Amino acid sequence: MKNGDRPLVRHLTIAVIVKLLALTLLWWFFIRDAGVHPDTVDVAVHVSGVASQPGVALPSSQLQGVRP
Amino acid sequence: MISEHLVDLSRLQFAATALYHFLFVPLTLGMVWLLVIMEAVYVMTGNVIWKDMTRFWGKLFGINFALGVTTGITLEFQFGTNWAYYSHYVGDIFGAPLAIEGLMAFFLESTFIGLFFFGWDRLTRRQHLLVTLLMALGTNLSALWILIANGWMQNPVGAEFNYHTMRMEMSNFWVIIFNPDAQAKFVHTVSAGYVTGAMFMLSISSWYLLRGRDLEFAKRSFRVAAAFGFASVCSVIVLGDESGYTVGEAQQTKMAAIEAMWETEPAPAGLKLVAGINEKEMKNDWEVELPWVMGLIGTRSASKEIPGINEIMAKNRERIYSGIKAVKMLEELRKGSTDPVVYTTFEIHKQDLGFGLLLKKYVVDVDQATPEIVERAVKDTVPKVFPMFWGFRVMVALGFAMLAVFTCALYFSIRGCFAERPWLLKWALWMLPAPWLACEFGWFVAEYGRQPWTIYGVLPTHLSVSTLSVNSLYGSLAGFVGFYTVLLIVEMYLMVKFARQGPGSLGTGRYEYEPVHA
Repeated sequence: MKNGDRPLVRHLTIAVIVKLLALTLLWWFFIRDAGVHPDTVDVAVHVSGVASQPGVALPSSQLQGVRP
Repeated sequence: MISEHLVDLSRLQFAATALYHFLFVPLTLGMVWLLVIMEAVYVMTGNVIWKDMTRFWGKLFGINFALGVTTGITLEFQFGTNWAYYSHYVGDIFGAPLAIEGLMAFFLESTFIGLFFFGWDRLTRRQHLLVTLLMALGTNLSALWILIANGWMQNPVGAEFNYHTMRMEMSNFWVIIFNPDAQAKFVHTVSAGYVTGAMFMLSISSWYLLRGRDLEFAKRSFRVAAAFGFASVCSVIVLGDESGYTVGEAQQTKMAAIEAMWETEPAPAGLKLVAGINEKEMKNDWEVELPWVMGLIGTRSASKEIPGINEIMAKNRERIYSGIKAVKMLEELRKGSTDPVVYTTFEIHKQDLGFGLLLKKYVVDVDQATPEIVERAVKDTVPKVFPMFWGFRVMVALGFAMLAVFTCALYFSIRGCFAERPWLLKWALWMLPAPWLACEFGWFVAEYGRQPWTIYGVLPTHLSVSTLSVNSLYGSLAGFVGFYTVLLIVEMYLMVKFARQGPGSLGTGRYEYEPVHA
């Protein structure tokens, strides 16, 4: 690394650190608890509306209203 | 059912983050090959000015890379939050190229970028050139995997729906890799990146020439950018035509919307240059047309018709009625039916399942869909024509404007008198935003034109969205937009600062405006 590169490296190091911190904060506030993990039954209910395979309990998310 | 507001907010969030992300990507894709060219000349000639050019333009490349890297991660966040049903439904296929891209980005791209910046004094000339070449390959291969994933969303080949798992499952990996849509998209998109890199270098070099500073450095940079830019913009136009051809084959609705072609016209159809689009009455109030051109470039034939929107809607109506049967049979199969008639009927109508699912936007039980509801779903199958028509034309106009500037730049470079043409230098300078605008309009046309589907013909957008709260979506949207806006401001600040310093910032003692070190 040459002398002339040092100011840029300093700028970029700060920018990348701040960026990673900002991304971590975004993840912490908006993503961490917002993950949705549908299983096969959830998707079946979501897509095909009412059906599930026998012996598998319907999830509570099946309760869907008709859009006005 | 998912509220339309929630769907729109999720779409807006994804679109905003993707468009911001793509402000960084094309410059990286293009600049990296310019670095390879300049460094190769340095290795071949031993002339140190080429090394300085590689190092200086590499600095600006480094700013863009450092600010742009990981900006795509917010898109991946959203697959797990806003688009969880989508992720379950198609994750088996969509996840593989994304994972490969992640590995490529980390192991190839990032490693060689580190070596590029810190290896000047540690590697021989040839070793360093090899590093730069591998960095370029890594960067472009990352784009390949993303575009394979995106190409599959546009044309979902090599996959089958499994009603047991409620997923699309991969049936042929190679068909997905060599999906014509993905390949055409890849070459078109990376070429657009090359144009962006070339325009960036051409514009900044023009600014130095207009200011009369670092003339030898600026002249060489200008010539490289002019030649590379001319070749790249020709590629973008030719490969864009190929991309359009694959769209015409796999996504007729998108093609018809881009051309505002309401009715099927006798072959070969004309190309509408401009038109007064009357969306309500589904017609053009006026239009200026080049006869035959659209038919010839859209079908590669003088006798093949391009279907109009009304004809496509009639076909889609049939597919929705067929899809209703597929949905009903799917429901029976999910209830555990072992009746072979149910299974056979499902298999017959399975290819139209997605069209039946379009009705879920309006009714829970698709059997209850009235003819009016079916008509609403049929209308949904066509994206709004006005933004498609004009978005495409803005992209194409910008492409031809860039062709003009690169042609002039190359012509006067060959004649050796570009530095005495201030009008050309000013033109090149003012064209700086053009490739970014063209890229953004291109992505808008590609993605908005896929609506109402996330996976074309397979999974409607409204069924792909998770049931999140609207407030949390507003919060994350504001957070993401704020984050990207700050990044963009920092990027522009650093770019302007170091571009203004010019090659003098290298501290070699060979250029103007050398920084003074204590």
